[in-house]
Amino acid sequence: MSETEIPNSQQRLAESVSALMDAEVSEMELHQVLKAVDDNQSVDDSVLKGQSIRSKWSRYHLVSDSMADAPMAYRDISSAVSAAIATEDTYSVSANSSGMGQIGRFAVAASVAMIAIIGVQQYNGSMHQDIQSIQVAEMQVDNAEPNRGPAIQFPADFQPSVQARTVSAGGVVKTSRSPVTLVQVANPDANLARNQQLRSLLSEVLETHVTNESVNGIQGMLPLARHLDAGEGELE
Amino acid sequence: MQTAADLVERMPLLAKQFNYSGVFSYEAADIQRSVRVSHQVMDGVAYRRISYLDGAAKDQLHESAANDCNSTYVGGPQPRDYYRFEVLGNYRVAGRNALKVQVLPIDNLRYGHLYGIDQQTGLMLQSILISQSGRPLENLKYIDITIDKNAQPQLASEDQPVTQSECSYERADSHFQAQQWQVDWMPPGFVRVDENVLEEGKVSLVYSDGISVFSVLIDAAPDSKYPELVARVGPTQMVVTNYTHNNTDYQIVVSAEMPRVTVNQIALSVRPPADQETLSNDS
Repeated sequence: MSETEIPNSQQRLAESVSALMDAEVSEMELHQVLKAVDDNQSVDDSVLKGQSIRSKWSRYHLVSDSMADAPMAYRDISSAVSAAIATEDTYSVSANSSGMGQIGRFAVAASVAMIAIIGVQQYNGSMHQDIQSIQVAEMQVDNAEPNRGPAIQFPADFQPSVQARTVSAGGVVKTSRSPVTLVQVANPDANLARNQQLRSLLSEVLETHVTNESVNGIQGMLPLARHLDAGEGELE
Repeated sequence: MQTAADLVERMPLLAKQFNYSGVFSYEAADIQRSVRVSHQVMDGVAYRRISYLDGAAKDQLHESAANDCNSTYVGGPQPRDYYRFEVLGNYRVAGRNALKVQVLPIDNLRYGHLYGIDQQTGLMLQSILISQSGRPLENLKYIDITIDKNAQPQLASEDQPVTQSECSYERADSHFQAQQWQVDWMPPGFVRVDENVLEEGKVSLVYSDGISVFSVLIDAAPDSKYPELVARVGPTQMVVTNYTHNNTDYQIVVSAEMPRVTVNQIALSVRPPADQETLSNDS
């Protein structure tokens, strides 16, 4: 009975070492790994177990270092980490703080910027009449926009002081009129969404817009962070 | 003591003139990426290098004039009339002390912003775009930044504001006469700040209210004709429309980080002046 327990716990520890390398480990797992490494340093009959965990930790570091193009020198800092943790305050570890939550979150967000063709406009009559004379048709703004990714949240330490916007509340400017919406938006057909020429038009539009904003906007590199595809002067 | 509006208005000048490098995270509804940037000024030219650190490797170098081109030139936009600026407090970002500054429009025709501005240098360390309904649309945040304080920016003084003509790289030439084109409707406070001829028959007009920018692309000879449509990438909305004038089909695309209803409305109001009989493309 006890003979099967050891490989199981060793397997778990090995997994924890792997998670530790990916910085996806709970504090409790971290303690277990460090203890296993530490056990090896004391003279004790589970030397083999500690040896195995220690060598795994060491191997993982070598692989990681070589991928990161760092010198292939490995120094065991696990004792120092143990000491540092010992002096830290203890926090409770919740079940949700395992690495999986993190993995899930980033996997969802990994979809790269893609042009979403949201809708084709359907006009009632001529679109370029005098705006004021045209009947207002409601545009289905939110329904037409596929919310493909998770909505982002305000950071805990940085939220606006007013959540709801007041419209023209006695500002210097009299808003002449709200935008009258002339059109309805229908879902584009699949052929249009796949149309390469259209996509290249839109990426040219983005390129121009990004250039315009980096010259005339106030936000420095932000436009380039949004759409690097659309820039100029690509390096090979 | 600098006001919140001073801090925001100085931000772009400082960003163009300081030397700095760092890493920031960028998050929008369907985008999450880490980006390394470096900004160096040499002989009046700003070199910006930007690399995406995850996903497909992308690495680009941009050059631009490092002069003061976008905030205080004569006849330029007056953002203080259209946004409310407020300092919300202090916080830390990228290991530096920063001021939280809120910039909210007085109408619902454009987006609001939260900025984290470095106390020491005035550079932008964080930027959050806020929708009309008060939701965050994107969040750029420096994780780490190194700022070379030896290279002190040369700011334009109030005595010598930069004029608009000093700011435009490529003025529209007479072949197409971009200035003939008008945008009949736009949110109050936007002014035309730039125009470029991209190629024969294709011009780009740029409008700004000092905070938000929208671009109008007018193409007299589009490759093919599309139905009028709306597209989006991250927080950027694009509206494609068509316009026929003097037997020429024009394609008009307006793009902006602004509410879609606003972008749509702008796009529908782009036209040559009614009294303009001929356009200069030879048709």
